[in-house]
Amino acid sequence: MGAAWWLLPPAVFLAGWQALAARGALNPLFFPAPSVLAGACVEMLKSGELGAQVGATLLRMLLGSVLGAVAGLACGLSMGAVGAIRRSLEPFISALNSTPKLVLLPMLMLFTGVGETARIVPVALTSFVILAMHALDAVRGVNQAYVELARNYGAGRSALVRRVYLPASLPGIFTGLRLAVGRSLVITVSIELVGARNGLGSMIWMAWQTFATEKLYIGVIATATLGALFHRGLQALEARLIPWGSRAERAA
Amino acid sequence: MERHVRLRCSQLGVTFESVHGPVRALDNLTLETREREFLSIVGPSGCGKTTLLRVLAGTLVPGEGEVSRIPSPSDPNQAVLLVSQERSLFPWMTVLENAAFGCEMQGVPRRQRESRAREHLRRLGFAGRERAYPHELSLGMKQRVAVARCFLSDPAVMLMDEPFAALDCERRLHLQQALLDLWEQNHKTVVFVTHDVEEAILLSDRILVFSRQPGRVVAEVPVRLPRPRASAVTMTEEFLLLKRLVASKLGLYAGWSEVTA
Ligand SMILES: Nc1ncnc2c1ncn2[C@@H]1O[C@H](COP(=O)(O)OP(=O)(O)OP(=O)(O)O)[C@@H](O)[C@H]1O
Ligand SMILES: [Mg+2]
Repeated sequence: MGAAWWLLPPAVFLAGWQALAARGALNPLFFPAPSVLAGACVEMLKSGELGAQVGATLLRMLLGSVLGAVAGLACGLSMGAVGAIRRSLEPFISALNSTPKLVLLPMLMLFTGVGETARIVPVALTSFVILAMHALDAVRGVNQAYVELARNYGAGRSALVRRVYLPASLPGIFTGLRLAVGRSLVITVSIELVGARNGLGSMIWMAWQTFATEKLYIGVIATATLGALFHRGLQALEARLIPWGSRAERAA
Repeated sequence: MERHVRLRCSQLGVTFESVHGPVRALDNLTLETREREFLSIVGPSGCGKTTLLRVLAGTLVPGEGEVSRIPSPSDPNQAVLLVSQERSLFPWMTVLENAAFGCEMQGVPRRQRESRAREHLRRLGFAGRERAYPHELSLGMKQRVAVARCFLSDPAVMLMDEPFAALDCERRLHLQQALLDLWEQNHKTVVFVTHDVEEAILLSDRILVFSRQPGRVVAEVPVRLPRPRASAVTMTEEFLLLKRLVASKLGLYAGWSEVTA
């Protein structure tokens, strides 16, 4: 298999950029050469600045998304299991889904003061809504043929949940998880952009204000890299946890 | 020896609601099947065979009529298990887990049920792929696992919905033989749905021929070929006569005058 084909486009792009920069065809204030960026990046890694900013972002994002995802999963599964819970909660979940979580920041700061709580709650809400909706869909989408099959063999309520509903909804839940983690990163960095003193978002904003162009680029690249890493990591985890091939074929 | 009736349904009627309006799948259908009987049902596609089996298995509640499971003095077990035509295996379980699922529901300990499942899978020509998942198998392989699971649970009545339809000729012969052998050992009541007239004759004690939708019994053909049977019986004169009879009842070979056995 072509192991590293994905490296080709960025390599070509960077080489072209570098060549243009070396000829002086680009204004270094706006488009610093890749070699300059790499040097700055090494500097920031050495001084520990980049690590600290990435760490701050990661901490917020993971705290928020784990809390939100666990609660969302519980909420979605119980909505899937009990019709009354679904009917009473679904409107609120959809309303929350279409509210941009960032707009809640000022309100939260009003209630809880300017602090980490106000920054993490929107992240948690983002994960919560996505997981709740995906878990609900996954449970409701379980093919009744499998329920019939298990019942025919004498499965009771608990066996149905354990052997049919949970494994059958795992692929859907995982899709939700991947989405939730991606969105959590977006919302974390956005919040840091407007309302934090550390983290990648704040670093990017400060870089803009002080015209530190290299930092600006490095912040954006670091954010994108984090997103890609999470995506790949979750894909690998999914392949391990769902060996029956959630993507390959769901029906047997 | 008088054989007890194990499963009886009377005046079944099933209507499905579809976007094109109601579909009458079964109409005023009455049948019964006895202890130690191998009953086959043949009929055109869409005549309601699968629907009938779902009703008999208790997974579909009929609009009209009723199904009764009759306990027998010699066998108090009343389970009626269905090997369905599609989605017969859980995609998230390995072959072994699928085959052992019935035993798992009966509370048989893991080690025991897995060794029993291995044994049954082997007899159905399925050694070495116990750890595979269903999506890695062909349709015919899946059906064999489902048949193994059914036998392992040892129900009172086994319902099988075209389990060998997806197999090539040779495999099919092989598995028909395997099924006959397994059945000779337990002699459970079987209701077997198939499109294949030869298969029905080879396996059964009695064949019910269904009409087009809605399914009704148009003919009942007893098969008195000696048991235990082997596929060589398909070459006999008697077999051919039965085949002609069933085929004509099915309306195959239009233009033939009806033949009697
Ligand atoms: N869930 C359903 N909703 C609507 N119509 C249905 C449903 N299930 C079956 N039918 C209709 O009922 C009729 C009988 O279907 P059934 O599956 O029992 O046929 P069959 O004899 O098993 O056919 P085949 O030999 O092709 O498997 C068909 O016309 C089918 O379209
Ligand atoms: Mg059918």
